[in-house]
Amino acid sequence: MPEKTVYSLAKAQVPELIAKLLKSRNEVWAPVKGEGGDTFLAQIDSAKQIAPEYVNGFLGAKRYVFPQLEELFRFKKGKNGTTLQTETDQPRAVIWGIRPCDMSAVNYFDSFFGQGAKSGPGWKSGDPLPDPLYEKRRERVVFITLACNQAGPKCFCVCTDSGPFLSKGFDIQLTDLGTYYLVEVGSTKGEEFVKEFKTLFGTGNENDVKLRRKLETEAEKTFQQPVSFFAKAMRKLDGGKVDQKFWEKVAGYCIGCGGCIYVCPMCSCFDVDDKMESDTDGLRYRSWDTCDFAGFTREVSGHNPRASRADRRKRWFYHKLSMDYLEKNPVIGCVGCGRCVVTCPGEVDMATVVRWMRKVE
Amino acid sequence: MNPNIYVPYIAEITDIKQETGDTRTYDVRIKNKEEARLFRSRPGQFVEASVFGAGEAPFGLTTSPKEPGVMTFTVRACGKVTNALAEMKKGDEIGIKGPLGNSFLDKIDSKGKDILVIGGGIGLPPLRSMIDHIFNNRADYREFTILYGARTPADRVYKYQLSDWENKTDLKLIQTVDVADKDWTGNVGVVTTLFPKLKLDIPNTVVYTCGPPIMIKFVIIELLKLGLPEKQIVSTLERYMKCGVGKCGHCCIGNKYVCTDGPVFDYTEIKGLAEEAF
Ligand SMILES: Cc1cc2nc3c(=O)[nH]c(=O)nc-3n(C[C@H](O)[C@H](O)[C@H](O)COP(=O)(O)OP(=O)(O)OC[C@H]3O[C@@H](n4cnc5c(N)ncnc54)[C@H](O)[C@@H]3O)c2cc1C
Ligand code: FES
Repeated sequence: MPEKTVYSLAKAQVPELIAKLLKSRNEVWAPVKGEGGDTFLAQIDSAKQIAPEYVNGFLGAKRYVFPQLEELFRFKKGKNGTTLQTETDQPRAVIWGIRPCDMSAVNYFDSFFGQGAKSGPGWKSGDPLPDPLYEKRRERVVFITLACNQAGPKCFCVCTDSGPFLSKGFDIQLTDLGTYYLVEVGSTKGEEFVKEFKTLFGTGNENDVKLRRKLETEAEKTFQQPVSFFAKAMRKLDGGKVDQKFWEKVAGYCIGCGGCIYVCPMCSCFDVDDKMESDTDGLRYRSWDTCDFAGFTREVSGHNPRASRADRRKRWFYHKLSMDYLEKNPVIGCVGCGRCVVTCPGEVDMATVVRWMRKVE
Repeated sequence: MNPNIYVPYIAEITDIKQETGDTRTYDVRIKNKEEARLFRSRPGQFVEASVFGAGEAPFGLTTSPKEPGVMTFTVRACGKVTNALAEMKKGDEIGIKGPLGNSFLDKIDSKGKDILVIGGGIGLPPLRSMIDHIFNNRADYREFTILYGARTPADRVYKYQLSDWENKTDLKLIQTVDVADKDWTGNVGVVTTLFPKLKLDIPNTVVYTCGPPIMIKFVIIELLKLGLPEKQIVSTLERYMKCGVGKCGHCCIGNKYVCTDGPVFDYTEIKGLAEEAF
């Protein structure tokens, strides 16, 4: 871990910090326990709502940065023609307590939804285009992540270099040290945040940093998923060892529900549709979609380039794991959050399939 | 392109031509002068056309515009957006996002070569932009041949244009239909059955093709058999598209996004894909 300034935050100060945030920001989001006992990332109006213990929420920060339904623009048809209204303004928000895996997924979204991407005269075909909704939302949010002292039962972030602790890519990372948090700052936004609320933060010390390192090493030993590293599986995949029969086997267990894709913090495919709200007014919106459904690629003629479930499953795993697919954006499409392991009714989640792939001869 | 990639320009339909029972050609002009000035397309590019309330769909541009902000595309009515377009009249407003994608001109430089254009059905309109480009720069190219196949004579688009082209001396147009009617005196059979009628200078021919996936597949197989170099086979690919701007993921083939990496590809790019292109 590179040397950087560290601070501390007493847990007793958290309610006051949240109260201040609720005053100074439009929105504060944190993990909240739902009625059924699942944890969700949700908007809160008091620190009391923050779940006392959680692995990672049912849905990651994707729920915030890339909402399930999002308006693209509104239109109004009038006598003098159609007018369009775009709202790119986004709330100023703080996301409290997401886990390193989910932060890593946001970092991946940053590169996909196109930070630094160009459009306009210099644009060449194939260049990524910036997504204005995402960029604005991202610009106005501060992420405070909570490192994992203990891995969850289905987690394997240690295999994907996205936890249990982060060394970069966060605004602020908290480590639970009992009655207080060690506070690491990872960005200018994080630095400004601490400055803004400096009366609530204490100084951090050498001992806390040592303790944090020890906790990280210990946390790495708490993984229960027997998935080791992806590299071998990826070599098999790119070496052409994984054949169509393999995908047919995977498809045999898959019920095509698309659950793995909806819960995946890195999946970002969407559908676009229009909705009329009156005879003259309506809106265009996007909504999460999944490459697991046949209708995702079915063309008007009836021709479907990915007609079989095996082809669709192959697509999902290739997109996430094949170097061929990763050439534009060299980050594997998995952060080891374990959500697909929890969700998949057929037990052909990322962890299982990677395990099978490693064994392919 | 609008800096907000999801927001179209407002455009007006300035003319509609009926091509076949279900196919129409639309002339469209972007209304705002400043936005129109920014709209300049190259052969092979496409737009996403919106009917507000029905949605948007991609259509290949059929002309290299003589002035910015003006475009033409041909649409077969077969679904939500295309049927909504079929209901529209001259003067109605639609949305236009684009120009999108790459161009035939981004592939191998075909100047000084023989040109063979192979179109199937509604695949002729996107090729038309390249055909125009060749006519406008006719001295740069050698022999120019167009093969056009359709299901029936009535299914052919641009019939007025086809008879013009047939009379041209610097272009050889050969048409064929799968099923003839009583007035049809031309060829019958799929487009690849026309190949034996051609005298191709294989090393010096560049092929541009667009049509239904099954046609493109067999065209490429036959061209490879004839020994045409892979870089000289240039095809547009079609996928179900939603956003048209490289974000929604619908149009991917392997690691390529048809909307931003394509829609124009040469065979070296197509053959290496992890998924079948056709
Ligand atoms: C680069 C490119 C260029 C193109 N150029 C042209 C061109 O020049 N001219 C042209 O005519 N076309 C062109 N196309 C094809 C054109 O885009 C399609 O015809 C168009 O998108 C159809 O849109 P739609 O809204 O009318 O159909 P949709 O309403 O989207 O219908 C599509 C099909 O899906 C089915 N369907 C719809 N909803 C559902 C559902 N909920 N469940 C199951 N099935 C459903 C429909 O029955 C229909 O068969 C091009 C496509 C691409 C990608
Ligand atoms: S159409 Fe949306 S990514 Fe290509």
